[in-house]
Formats: sequence, C-alpha cells, structure tokens
Amino acid sequence: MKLRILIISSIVLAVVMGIAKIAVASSLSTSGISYGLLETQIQTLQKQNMILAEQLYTDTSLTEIASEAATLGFVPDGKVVAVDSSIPVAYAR
Amino acid sequence: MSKRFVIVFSLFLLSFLAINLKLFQWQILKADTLVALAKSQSQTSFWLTPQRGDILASDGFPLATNKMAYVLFARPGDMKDKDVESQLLATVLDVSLATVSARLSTTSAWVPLDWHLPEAQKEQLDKLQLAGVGFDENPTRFYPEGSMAAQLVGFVGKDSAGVDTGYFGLEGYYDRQLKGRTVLATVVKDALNRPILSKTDDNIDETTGRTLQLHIDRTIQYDVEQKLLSGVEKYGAASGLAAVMDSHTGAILAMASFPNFNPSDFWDFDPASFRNPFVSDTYEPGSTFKPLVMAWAIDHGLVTPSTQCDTCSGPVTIGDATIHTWDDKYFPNTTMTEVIQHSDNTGMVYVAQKMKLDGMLSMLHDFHFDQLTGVDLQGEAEAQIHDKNNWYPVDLATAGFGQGLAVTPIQLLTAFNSLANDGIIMEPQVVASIQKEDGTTIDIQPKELGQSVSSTTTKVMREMLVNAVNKGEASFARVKGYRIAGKTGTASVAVAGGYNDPRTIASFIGYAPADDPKFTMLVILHEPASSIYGAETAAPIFFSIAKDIFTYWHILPTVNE
Repeated sequence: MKLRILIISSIVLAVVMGIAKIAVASSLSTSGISYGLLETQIQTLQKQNMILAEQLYTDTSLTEIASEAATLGFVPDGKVVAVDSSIPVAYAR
Repeated sequence: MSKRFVIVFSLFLLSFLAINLKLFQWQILKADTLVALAKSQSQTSFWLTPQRGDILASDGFPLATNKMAYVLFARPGDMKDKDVESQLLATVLDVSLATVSARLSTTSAWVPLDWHLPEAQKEQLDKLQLAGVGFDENPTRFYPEGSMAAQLVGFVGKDSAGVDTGYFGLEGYYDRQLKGRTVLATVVKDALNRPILSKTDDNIDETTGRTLQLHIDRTIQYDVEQKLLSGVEKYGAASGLAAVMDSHTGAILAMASFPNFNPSDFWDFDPASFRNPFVSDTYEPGSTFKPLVMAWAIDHGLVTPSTQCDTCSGPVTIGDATIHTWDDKYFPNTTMTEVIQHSDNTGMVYVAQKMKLDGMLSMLHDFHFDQLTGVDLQGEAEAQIHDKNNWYPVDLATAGFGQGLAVTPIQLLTAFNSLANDGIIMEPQVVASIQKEDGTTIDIQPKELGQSVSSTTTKVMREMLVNAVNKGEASFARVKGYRIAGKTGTASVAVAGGYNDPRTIASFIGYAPADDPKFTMLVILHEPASSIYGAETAAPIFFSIAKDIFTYWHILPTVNE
C-alpha cells in the first residue's frame, strides 16, 4: 500500500514539475519578447536623450550665450558699485 | 545460468557500451565543437562599446560629452541612379559632386562617405530615401564649449588599432577612467529568433566610463580666455597663457593658453598647439621669481624688509658679466622692500650672494622646484636647474632674479601660492571628484605637499608684495579699493647661451585679496610687441581678470581710495 502511494506521489510530482517547467519556460519566452521590446525602447530613448542633450548644451553654452548677448547689444558694465554695509561713524540727530 | 539469459545480458551490455561510447564521443571528444554549434544556433555575441565618461565643469555643465553621429555609407551596386544620388548626397553633405562621384566609382561593395554625420544631415538624407545608402550609429565626442580649455581637456582620437583613445590634457591623463571597459555581451534566442530573458554576461558591472567633475569654474575660465585673447592681440604677443588657482586648496579654477585648438576638429590644427604650455613648457620666470628668493632669505634670517643693500649703487660685475637693473636706474642703500618694489636686479644679487649656493639650492628644494607638482594633467615637464657642480658665481647671481634656470608655469604658480597659504604648498588639482556608473563618487581631497617658508614670513612678504603693486611699475593698472599682493616679471629670452635677444617673456603673478587670499593667478605673454615689460602687458590683463572675479564672487573693496 505504501509502495503504491509512493509511486502515485512520484508520478504526480513529476507531472506537476513538468507543467511548472513548461509554464516557467513559456513565461520566460514571452518575457524575452517584452524584454527585447523594452531594450529597443531604452535604446530609442537613450538616442533621443543624447540628441536633445546635444541641442541643449549647444544652445546653453557660455560661448553661445555670450555670442547671442553681443548680437543683442549687451556689453559688460565697466563700472561696478559696491554698497558698503558698514555702520556710519555717527548718526545725525 | 541459461543461455537465453546470457544472450539478453550481452545485448544489454553491448547496447550500454554503444551508448556510452557515443556519449563519450559527444561529451568528451566533440564537446567543444558541439557546444559552439549549439551556441551559434541559440546565442548571439557582440562587443559592447562603452560610452565614454563626461568631463564636467564645477557647475555640472559638460566640457566634453558624447553626441549621436552616424557612419554614412553607400553600396554602389545597389544604387538605382548613381548620378542623381551623387548630386543629392553632395548637396546634403556640402561637398563637391566630384568628391562623391569619385568615392562611388570604386568597385568596393561598401563605401564610407562620412564617419561623423550629424543627426540633422542624417534626417535630411532619410527623407530622400536613397537606394543603396545606409547609416550606422557612431556616437562621437562632443565639446559644447568648443575650444574652451582645449589644452586642459585634450581630445579623443584613434590609436593604432582604431580604438578611441584620449590624448593630451584630461582626456589623456584620465583615459582609462573615461573610456570604461569593452565587454562581450551575449543574447540568447529561441527557435523563432526571439530574445529570451537570460543572464547575458558575468562581468558587465560598470562598463560605462567614469565622469570627471572638475574644479574649473566655467565663468572664470571664459573670462580668463576672453581677457587673455584680447591681451595677446592688443600687445601683439606670440602666445599667452594664464591660470587661476584656489589659494587654500590648490584647485585649478581656470587654465587657458593661446594659440589653442578646437578638440572637435583637432586634425585641422597645428599639433604644436595640442600641448598644454602651462604644464609642459619651461621658461625663465624672471622677476616673478624674486618674491620666492626674498621670502626664503627673510625666513632664514639673512635679510629683513628694512635691510639696506650696500652694493646697489650701480651695475654689479661678476666675472665677465655685468648685471644691470631693468631700467638702468640705481638706488644706493635701497631696502629689501624697495628692491621688490623697483624689481631691482642688483638688490636680488645682493640677496642671492647672502644665501650662497647651498641656500639657493635649499630654496629651490623648499619651494619644490626640484620635483613635479603632480598636477593631474598629461605631460608635466621638469624644471631645468643646473646640477650642484655646474653652478658658477654668475649663475647664483642671476638665479636671484629668476634668470639662468627654467621652471614650468604650474611650478611657479604652485610655489608662489604657498605665500598666499601660510607657506603651505598645495598640490595643484584639476579634478574634484570621479563619478562612477552606480552613482557613487570618489572625492579627491586637497593635498599638502610641504611647507616652503613660515607663516610669519608670508605675512611679511604680503606687505612687500602689496607695496610692490601699489607703488611699483604696474600700479597704474591695479584695481582700486583692493589690496592685491603681486609681482611683475620681464624675462629675457635666452638665445645660444646669451640674453642679447630683444624678445621677452612678460608676466605677472599675484594673489588677492591680500589679507584673505581667495585666488592666485599667473599671466604670461611670450614676446609682446607693443611693450616688452610685464608691467605694461601682463599686469593689466591680471588686474582686469581680478576685477571680474571680485565682482563674480561678491568680494567687496576694503580700502577707501
């Protein structure tokens, strides 16, 4: 009786494990497709990011800003006035 | 045992042996071949080229990064109308029709037309849908600020194996950190050639190059370059260089030189411009060397600021040589403070002779002129100083005013900076930190290299140098309201062992504000034409930059004038 239970249990276990293996393999296979799609998406986004970063850096470089400022007529202010915050020697009453 | 049993047993045994032999053949003898065959059917391997790390200014803006570009190629055999397509390609690429036609007339199956095609041109060509024309992604190095800090940053070219490699400056010095690691990646595919989620490689942690965060302040760097370029043009100099250092940490805030180059198109420039003269070239520092000699002599009790020179009433003759002052004016019994103020060569001969040869050699050692500074840039040169046995009396005399020996500008800046930093010599550093792919950061701490002179001596020197700025030849250009410690320099160019050439190296070195130094700066002009003197060329550039830094850093004036 015990032998029979053991044999049946073994068969059931083998079947369950077989089904599990098929399920995992199947899941992995579909995940692989999703993974591939994600990889492609990542590459596309990275490429777009690189292109946008290039445009951003080009337009915001100091060289470009200074050139644009000069075109618009901005010039450095030669005279700088420093406001001294020290306390006066005497207050008028 | 029955005969039938023996037969059945033998058959089983033979079958077992046959199976084992076949397994032996597959698993042992042909294992490698079969594994390779299986892998070729289910896996695809390819080399992952890592993205090169960025080089960032202190505000995080990249001085060097990567941009998308393409290899534009043609397959002449697949082109439908070669003449029409050649014309269209020539128009978009902005090259002559003859150039494109010549390349397409080859019998090769694959012809490269452009190795670094920008995105915009690629889009234009995409719209034309030319037959037999294709693109491969080929990210390339991009320098958003163009030629800014070109010699400091360096550039990326190809080595003999065609692999991207950094040359000169930071690209060269930190090449291994920046380039990352090339790894072999593997993708496992199913029977329908779809990728299967699997572990691709055991060793692909941190493949991307590391990013360098610099001390370089983009605003100061830009200002230094603008002022230096303007000065080089205004004074008709052959070349010019300048650097600004944080007085307390040794951090390099700006470093520029002209003529320079554009790292994006380095092949269009003279290779001589690739070197960073601030670290790779030596020159005779002239009078900018005097404060160091004077500081050492004061530190060792040989003179004091009020010591009077009793040999300064006229030219000094040593052997066959006669040493004059720069303007042939002489001040009998002049004090050491006035020697620095007037940049008096005869006074410095007096000091050098008090130091004697051993003292001069000790001074050169204490200010680290006998070793490299260790700046993290490629190609640092050594100073050219006589061996101890090859010093003549005249060499000792001329060394007192910075002639007869050659140092690199970075050595002079580092040594002089110690006068602004209580005598502590700081290692000049360009990189502040290194950022790894996983987000961790390696901070590079400021490094003390030694003590040149005592803190007390630096305070004495501070007053002498402030006096030199306020009353010396360059006082007309100084920034009013601020105490700046500095010294002019006009060094003769040595030709064939003599100094008869009228060309000079004009310079100015100083730190500010004198009482609480924030920065130390050195400006050098080679062979200025409008005036040969540092006081009339390099000094105005120095003060102009200093004035802008005061404004930029909100440093208020401290002197009412």
